[in-house]
Amino acid sequence: MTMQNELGAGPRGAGAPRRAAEGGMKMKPQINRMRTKGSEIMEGHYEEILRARQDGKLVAWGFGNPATEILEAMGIVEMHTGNHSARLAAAQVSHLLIEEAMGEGFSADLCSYAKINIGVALYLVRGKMGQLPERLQVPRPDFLFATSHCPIYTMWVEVIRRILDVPVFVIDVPYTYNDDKRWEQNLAFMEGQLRDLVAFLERLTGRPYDWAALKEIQQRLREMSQIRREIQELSRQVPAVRSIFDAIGSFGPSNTASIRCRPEAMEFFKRFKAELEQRVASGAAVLPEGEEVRLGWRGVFPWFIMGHLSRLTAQEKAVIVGSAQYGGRQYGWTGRERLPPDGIDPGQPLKTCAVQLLTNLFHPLTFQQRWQTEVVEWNEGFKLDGIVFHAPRTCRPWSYWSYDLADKAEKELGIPAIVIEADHADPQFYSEAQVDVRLQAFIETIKSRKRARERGKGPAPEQAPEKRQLEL
Amino acid sequence: MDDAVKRLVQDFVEVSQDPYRYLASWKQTHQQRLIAMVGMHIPEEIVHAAGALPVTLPHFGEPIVHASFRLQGFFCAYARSVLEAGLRGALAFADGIVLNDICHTIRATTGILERESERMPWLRFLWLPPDIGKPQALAYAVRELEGFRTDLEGVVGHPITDEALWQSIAMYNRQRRLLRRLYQTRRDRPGVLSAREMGAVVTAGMLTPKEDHANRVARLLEMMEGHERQSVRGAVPLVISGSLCEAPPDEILGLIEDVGGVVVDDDLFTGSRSFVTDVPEDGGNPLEALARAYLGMVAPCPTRHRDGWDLGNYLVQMAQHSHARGVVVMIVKYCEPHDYYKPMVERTLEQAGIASLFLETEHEDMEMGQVRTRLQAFVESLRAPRVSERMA
Repeated sequence: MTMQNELGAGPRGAGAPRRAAEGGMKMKPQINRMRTKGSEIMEGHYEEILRARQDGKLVAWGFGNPATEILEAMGIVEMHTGNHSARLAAAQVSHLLIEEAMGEGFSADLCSYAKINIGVALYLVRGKMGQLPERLQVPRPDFLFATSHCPIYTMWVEVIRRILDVPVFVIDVPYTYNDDKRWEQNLAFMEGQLRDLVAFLERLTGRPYDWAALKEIQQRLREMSQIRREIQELSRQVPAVRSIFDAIGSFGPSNTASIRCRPEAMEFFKRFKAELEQRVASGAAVLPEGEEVRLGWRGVFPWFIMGHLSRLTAQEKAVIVGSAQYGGRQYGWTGRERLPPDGIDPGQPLKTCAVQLLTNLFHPLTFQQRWQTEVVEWNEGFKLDGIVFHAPRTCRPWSYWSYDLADKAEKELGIPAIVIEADHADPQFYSEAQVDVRLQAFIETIKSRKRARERGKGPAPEQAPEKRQLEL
Repeated sequence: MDDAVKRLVQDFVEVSQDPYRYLASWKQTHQQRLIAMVGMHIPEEIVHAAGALPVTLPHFGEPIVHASFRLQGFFCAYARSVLEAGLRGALAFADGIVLNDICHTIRATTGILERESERMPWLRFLWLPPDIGKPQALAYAVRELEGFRTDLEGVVGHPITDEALWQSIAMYNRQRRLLRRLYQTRRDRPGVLSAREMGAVVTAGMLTPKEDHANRVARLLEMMEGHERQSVRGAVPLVISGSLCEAPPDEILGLIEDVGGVVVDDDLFTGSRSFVTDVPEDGGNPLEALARAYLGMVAPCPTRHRDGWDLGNYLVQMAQHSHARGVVVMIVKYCEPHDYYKPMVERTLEQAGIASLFLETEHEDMEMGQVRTRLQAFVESLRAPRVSERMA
């Protein structure tokens, strides 16, 4: 593959991403960003984690999408390792942690979130945490908590267990294959494990489990998921009143660690919705100079270039409006058909957790399920002109099927699609020039196709705008 | 080498040398159904009890062309090669394909085969709990195997009885015992079979009818135990490990012994990993016995999780038990699960004072000159008298 070959030739463990192409941009595009941002709430969350010990709280590191509310009800603070790795990538320091892990013999091919987190664990035991700015620091966990949604979590958590020598609790989550036949079996399996988790937490804290607190949290999660659905509806406006770059700020509060269980998160979504309503009413578009192309983004983002991507697309009068990952399939979004009417029933707290663990965003889907939820539904909801499939070099679940899904989107929906190969958190697998050129060309092709269609002599929709090809 | 032994070994080699052609021609000359399995931990006794020939798909030797458009180059070449075989129609000999959820790559492969299901044989995906130490795992695994049995009955068109399952289990246990005896013979008389020959013997067992294979291994053992075949002298005893879902490149096995090493034991997929765990034969539900064997697997697997499990310690014990001086670990390129464990295994071996060499292997484009040099240096470093020996 072209990109792998070129990158493979370069030095491994190279520093933060290059910014060369940025100087070449035509002019600064106008972007009307939302004022309500999730970042404040996330800063508070990391401050809480850092001072947890002095507040007398236990800290867990979460891998995957553990049933955080089960911990939260016992006053345990959870740091989501994936979120922290993304945070370090966004702060342009992930390469330091990756170098630390690779220096220990870990392969560059491991998931970048894992490499970064292994680096963090090594920083902790080597007394190097102080080398990171305080807002990026995290304390040693009291225990590790993983789900096997992603098969690598059990391996990653084992590495961290050995480095930090702390207890681990793993919840096995069955893959969705053949789900309907196995549903009852899956549910019983999950509930059994969750009961063991409760007993584990009781042993750890020396206190009986606080069921009342759990129900209260789930009630809040239920209300929050309703607000998020309303936000999703408001986000379908044409032209877009919010871009995905506004929406990802809400990803932390909706999905990550302890923070998603808190009243502050609820307040945040209320403000977010109010601002959206205001923007709809006043016709405030993301791109005040005009929106020509509406793009969907499939897959995790390359966190270290988000600002750059936002400017680049705006430059081309394109807005990334929808993403199957950010805004959908998050906690409380799914499971409605399994546990009517909301997928969350505080009267059945463990069943609620089980249903959510078996259906939510982190739950890997089969090809058909992915096609339906990540392409078809998002295309319908957001009136997309094209879809960008990000195939991160070190994240297999977001990489595989990219080419098949893109191919199917073009053939069956007549919607242009492109596969971009970069990475979610490791700058060494990202070539800015490549990604920029391909994205710009893709947007340009969509524009000319739209223009041609408007003139009434457009190419047949089955003709792909660009021949994608993997090199042998 | 004794001629009779040589001829017998040659039969194994022929099967394993061009497996896809062997399987295609087997299918043409037999009325039996053939079920192909991809990767580790599939309880094939159930397939056997169904009256079908269970076959573990090896690496498909043809260049990866079609699969390159579907699954990127950073997924392991084993899975990509199997996908290539599927897309080329080279799996037509199979009446069914069974895949087990061991890693992302298998999930990826399954999805693409499924998209092409119209031109594929019957597909079945298994999910067995990866955390094998969990109290809930046994009930789940039994249910999963029950579902597998039912689906398989639909394919073969007749029930798979408990009696048939127990017979298959007994037959598989016999084969495993025989292979363990063969390995004991190699530990006792290093070099009695070369690493390549041993690889061929085990691999042939994954491709041919088990009864025949077990009988041939029994005959081989008889001949070898009867004749006082000399073991090699002066070679450096080594353990080889890794290559979790496929046979390692044959050239590497040859090189290890060409440069002065002798393989005395192994922890390979096409080696001891395939026969170290027996299925308990204690009556009751045979599917539960199979589930218990899965959950009680002896060789630590990077894709599975159990408290206190340690692949490094397992290798240390193997090296000590077989008096090996070093361990060569072969990690299939882009095998992410194995990659996670590499530094820990390396450290454990080092702490136990056992030398190790890690090779990243692939069937295409491997620079064998470089591998030879590294192996040569490794074996030479172990041949040098140790400090303690010099002092004496």
